[in-house]
Amino acid sequence: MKIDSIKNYPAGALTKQMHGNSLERNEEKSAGAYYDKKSVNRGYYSGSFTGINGAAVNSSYKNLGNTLSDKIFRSKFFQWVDTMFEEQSVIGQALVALVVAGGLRPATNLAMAGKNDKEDSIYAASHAISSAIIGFVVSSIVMAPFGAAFRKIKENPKKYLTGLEEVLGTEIGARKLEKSKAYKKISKIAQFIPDTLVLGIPKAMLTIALIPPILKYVFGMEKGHKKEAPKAPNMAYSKPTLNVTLEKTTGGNK
Amino acid sequence: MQIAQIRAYNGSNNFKQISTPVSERTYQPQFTSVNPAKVKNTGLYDKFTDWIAKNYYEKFYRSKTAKYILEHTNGEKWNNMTTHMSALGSTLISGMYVIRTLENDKLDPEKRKTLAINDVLTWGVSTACAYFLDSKLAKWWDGVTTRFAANYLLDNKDARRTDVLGEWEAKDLKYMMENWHKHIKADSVEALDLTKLEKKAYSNIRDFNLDVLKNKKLTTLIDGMGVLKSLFVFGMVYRYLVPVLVMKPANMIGKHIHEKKAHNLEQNAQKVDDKSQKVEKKD
Repeated sequence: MKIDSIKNYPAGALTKQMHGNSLERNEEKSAGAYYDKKSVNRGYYSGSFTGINGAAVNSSYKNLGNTLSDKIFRSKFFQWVDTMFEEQSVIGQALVALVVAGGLRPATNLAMAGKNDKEDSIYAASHAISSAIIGFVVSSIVMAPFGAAFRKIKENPKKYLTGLEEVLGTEIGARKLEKSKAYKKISKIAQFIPDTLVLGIPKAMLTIALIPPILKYVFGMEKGHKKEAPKAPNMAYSKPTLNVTLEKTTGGNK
Repeated sequence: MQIAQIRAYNGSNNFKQISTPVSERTYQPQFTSVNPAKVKNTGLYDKFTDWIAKNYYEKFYRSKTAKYILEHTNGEKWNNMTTHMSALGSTLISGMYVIRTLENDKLDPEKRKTLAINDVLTWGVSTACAYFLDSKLAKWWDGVTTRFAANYLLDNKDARRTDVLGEWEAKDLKYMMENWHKHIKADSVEALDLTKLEKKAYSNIRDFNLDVLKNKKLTTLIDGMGVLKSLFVFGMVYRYLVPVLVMKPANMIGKHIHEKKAHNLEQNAQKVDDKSQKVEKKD
């Protein structure tokens, strides 16, 4: 029935319908060209494209490849970054931290700072930048070989994972493992463990150690030059000290 | 048209160069047995990464811990392990800060408690916000990922498997995810695996790629998109939204309350002083 409908298109109809859905267009071309040749049309041109006009038009992407986000998606750089997030997830995490905590957060902190808490904001910004830089540098250096090692497992699982069929719930093979949720889960844990359990706390210590040089060289503030906050008498906690420490502690909350 | 071009070559000098007699040909080394990638990978770094693969990854996959984790994380909520690992990392670091605060002798015991509670609350709010946002964005991000995949397919015709599925355009990816089975070329040997599949409509691009398109690079890219989203959400919440947009106003409110308290205390102290002075005068 559907093939008949293709056959009934008047001559020239194909060129007139070029604005339509591409699937439909392709099918028309193919069907139109090969419909009569039974040796070519072996049945797979069932004509189904011609029966889904509305559905196909509604579900197809308009202007694919030309919008700003499409151009970003198509760029080699984005695809490289995207691959890195999968294969070097820890470095990806550090990259997010570098952008957010090393740029966005200090900028907002300083922009929102009032006259009274400018120094506190600078201190908080120093902490954020320090944390981001340490996180990114340490993670990139230490975790890069782990990422490369993980890629080896991914590309040649038979060499490393043979015998784990029962645990991973699938045969061992690159394509089979892609479908295994157990493999995906345990791989992500394995990728994060060195950073989360081993490097996490040393990185936090290094972050604190890096605050004075950042205060000095980025903001031109020497350690100890911070004004002594006036203390309110008989209070459980004086407000400026509380404020500074809060910003310090929230700064290390990752 | 192509044949005409070949004919033109026949009549040109270029063709003669191709048919140079064997005796006149210079020796060209054949690098058929040396894979440049292999040469690059035989260094110390390669041995080191191989050592990590064997002594860390392999041992971890084979460990009882891994088995235990897998046995206890069967539910759907455990599928996105990236979020859980981010939360675990945050928990450990926040825990370290809490312990440091509690052990800080320079602070009053009362202050330590307050700050420690504050740390724990900040961690709790951040973690809850991050999980909430991550789950709320999941559906929208699936759509973004499908569009990303369509862009990949736009640039990589081979990934569209046109040899099996016939000609189709990347912009019709969503249609193909639902109707792929209607377009399988019945006479294609490569299509045999597809004909065995259940003729279902896919709503998830990852599943569609795994079952139908079978493009390994695209699987990595799709997985990368999921990781990117989760890490970005957790990073934004932990490092930006809560500390900057929540803590800042919270600190300002706290300051205001403390100023008010301090003012009241000062006034009370003054009243006490005045009273005691009056009592002294009377005496």
